[in-house]
Amino acid sequence: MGNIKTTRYDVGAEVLSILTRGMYPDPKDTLREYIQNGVDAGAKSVQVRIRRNTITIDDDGIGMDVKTIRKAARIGVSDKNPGKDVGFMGIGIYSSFHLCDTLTIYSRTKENLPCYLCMDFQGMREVLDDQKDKRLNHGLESSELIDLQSLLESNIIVEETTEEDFPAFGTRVEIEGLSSEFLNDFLDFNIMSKYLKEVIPLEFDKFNFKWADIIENKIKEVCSEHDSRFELIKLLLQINNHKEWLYRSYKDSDFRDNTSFEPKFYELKTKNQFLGVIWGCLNSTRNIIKDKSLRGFLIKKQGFAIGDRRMLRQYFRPVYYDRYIGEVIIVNPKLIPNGARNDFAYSNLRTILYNSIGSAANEFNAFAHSIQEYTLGDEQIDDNTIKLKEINNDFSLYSTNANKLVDFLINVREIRSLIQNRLERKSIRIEREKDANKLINSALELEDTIEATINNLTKQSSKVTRKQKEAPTKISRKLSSIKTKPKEIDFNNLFSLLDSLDIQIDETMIAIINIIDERAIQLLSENEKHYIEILKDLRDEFEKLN
Amino acid sequence: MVSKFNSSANKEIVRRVWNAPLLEFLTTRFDKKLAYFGLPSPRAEDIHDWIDWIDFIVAFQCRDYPKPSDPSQSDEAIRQLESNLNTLLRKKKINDYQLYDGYIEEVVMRGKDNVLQEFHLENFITLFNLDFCNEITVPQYVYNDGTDKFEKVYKLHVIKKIIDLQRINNSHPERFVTFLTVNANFWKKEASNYLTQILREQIEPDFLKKIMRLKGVDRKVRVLKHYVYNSLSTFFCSNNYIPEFLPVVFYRGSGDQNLVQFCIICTYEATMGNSSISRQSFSHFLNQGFLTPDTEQNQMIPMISDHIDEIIPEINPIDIITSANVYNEFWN
Repeated sequence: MGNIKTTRYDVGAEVLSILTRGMYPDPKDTLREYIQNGVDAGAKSVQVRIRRNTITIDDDGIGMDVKTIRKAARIGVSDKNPGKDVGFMGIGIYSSFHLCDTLTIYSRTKENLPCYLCMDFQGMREVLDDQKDKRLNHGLESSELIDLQSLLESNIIVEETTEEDFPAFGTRVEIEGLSSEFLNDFLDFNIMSKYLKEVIPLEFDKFNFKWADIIENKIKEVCSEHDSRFELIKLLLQINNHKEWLYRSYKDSDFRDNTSFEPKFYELKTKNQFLGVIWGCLNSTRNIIKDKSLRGFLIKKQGFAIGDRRMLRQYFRPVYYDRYIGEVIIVNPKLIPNGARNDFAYSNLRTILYNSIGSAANEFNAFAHSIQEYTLGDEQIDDNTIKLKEINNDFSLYSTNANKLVDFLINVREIRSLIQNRLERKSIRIEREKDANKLINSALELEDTIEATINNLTKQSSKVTRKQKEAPTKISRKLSSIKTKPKEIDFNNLFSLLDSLDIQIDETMIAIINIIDERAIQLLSENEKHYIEILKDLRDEFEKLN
Repeated sequence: MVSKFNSSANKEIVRRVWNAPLLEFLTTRFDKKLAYFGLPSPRAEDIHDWIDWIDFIVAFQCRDYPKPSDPSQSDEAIRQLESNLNTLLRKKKINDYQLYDGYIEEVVMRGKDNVLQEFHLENFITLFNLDFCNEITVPQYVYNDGTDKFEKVYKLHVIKKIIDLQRINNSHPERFVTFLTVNANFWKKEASNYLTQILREQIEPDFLKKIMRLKGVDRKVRVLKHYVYNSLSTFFCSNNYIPEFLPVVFYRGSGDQNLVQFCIICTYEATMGNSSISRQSFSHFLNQGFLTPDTEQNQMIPMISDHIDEIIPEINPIDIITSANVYNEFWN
């Protein structure tokens, strides 16, 4: 057997429907494809307008002449550079095949007359549906099926047109006759803006995210050191009467107390190759990021999202992953996204990339751990200062209740040993070491005073010394000089505590948890304050499980 | 179903010879293109005719005129208009547009269209083209979500609401023009009530006495002038817009309907919470004859009654505006 000889009849027209349905399961992906073409054409600004029947996408890229626009209609053949350009598979232009009646692309370069390409998708689908019906009724032999070439030739027009018809430089995509089944999503501004913010290389929101400039400049700087591109675009989204310039989703308000720690960066590289850079902002407190959809890291190739944020979870300690917002910016031309854009195509470099991401994750974990240890230290100084103040207030030099005095003593010793231990482990920020020492000294003084009071109980007609008398006031003054920040509690029962940790619980488990809460934890609690204390301790324990 | 109000030769002359020079004048005076608000047909003939002076459009398109809106009706007319407006965007003839699915009455009064798109009027409109074609007193039946019933909404209520909204958006150039086209017939209960009322109250009695000598549409169209001037002046003045009614155009539209087009220039006047006062003589407006398109000469010509004395109207809209009191008081 030698090599086979093929003809146009060897590729049936149905392949177009099969390919596009498989590659673009989410109708919104079609917008990403056309915007991507604009970005590959050097566009700096893209405008997407969605109406009930039409979607238009205008870009200010270099545009196409009639020869180039003709080439754009090819399937699986692309002049684009797989390394430099994001789209290169030569199928994206057909991504709206199942979505609309017609696709018209107008384009104009500075040197040529405008031109357009019009694809009658409805006409193509009718031909395919018709032959499918006939095949079902045995009215058509496989040899009679329409081939791809004939289908395209009879339903695609490419022509030059006038400047009046398309005066702008760049490209305009018109998707007309939108199928009503997709309209609900397309006409929902929140859904569309959220999607585009994730998948398109948008600028950072400089008004609402204080690290925007730092992150953008740092990535540009690192990329330029390695002769790589990191370009962002301006995107206007208009849905009916609602229009907004979109930016990347990240805002200060995504973080607790409207702030995060300074962004951390990590260069992904081997000895010879630069792969990209990771940036991540850690929540300012030991809390997960409020918006679930922003928790963790998102891979972006040339700004276009690859997969979603669940992809990299396995590389991080989950407890820290959910406290970060970040991105993995990949610029290496040899890392090529797969067809579905949910991962990179298999290659050795892909393996190296994920190894490298693993190393980066260790650094991000370590940073989070050290920082959050400090945060925990802050919280413990704050909490225990308040606790010690309360004991100091409740304690009386003239108390005769020995049990209570012993309880006080135990609690004060616990506080002292906890903070001393932290200090010794250097897990208290330098700025708060003074507070920690004040707290320890206060605890020591109070311990002495309580001990003296207990001793007095065993003696007859013992006198309270002047030093003992002055101690509570002195301690109170010392503790007041420690600036404490009351901690926000976002739970008031066991279930809401687990919910605040984003632990997924089904209906049956909720019922069980509520029973345990009522019959065990609440019974253990002396009062509401104590109940919350127990919950706080439990939270710390649960967090350690991660 | 496409609207049956297709363009007629007469209508085209009105748009080109009477309306267009006025729009050109306003565009030059405002030093910016106009924001259009109206009821174009799916083919958007008026917009195409005036495209050199418009750069923003708010359009309403019903599905199956004159039947009340129903989700089962085809939305082909809206799709066609959308396609036309998109073409204008592509050609960079306009900057943006808003298109609502439904009768203007239902969209404006309900605050949303048939596909639940919210109605927002955020731009200051400088050109209203309210081409109703049926009688001003014919109500539109609009579904009320609250009562679950269809309710009557009158055109004047809608105009009043629009002018209220316009007042909220008041901004430079603080002036606008309104073309109001309605059927020349003025009948039914509302019309006879109005005639009874103005006869009783003796509002412009000499004019009323004079027109009682006329019959049929000749009388009705003159009572209609009285009615529209009287009602709209109140709406405009209460929102601090001083109206100037230009001569009324009377012509035969498609389907042999007698149509009239009112053209009102409005200018904002800052007052200390009081209504503005019209500077125009009601009597002069009423006693002025009509303008009508002449298809043979392709121009507008005066049309006065053979049976009563009427003032021959000026035919050049620019001369009319520039000689108006409001123009000389506020525009110069």
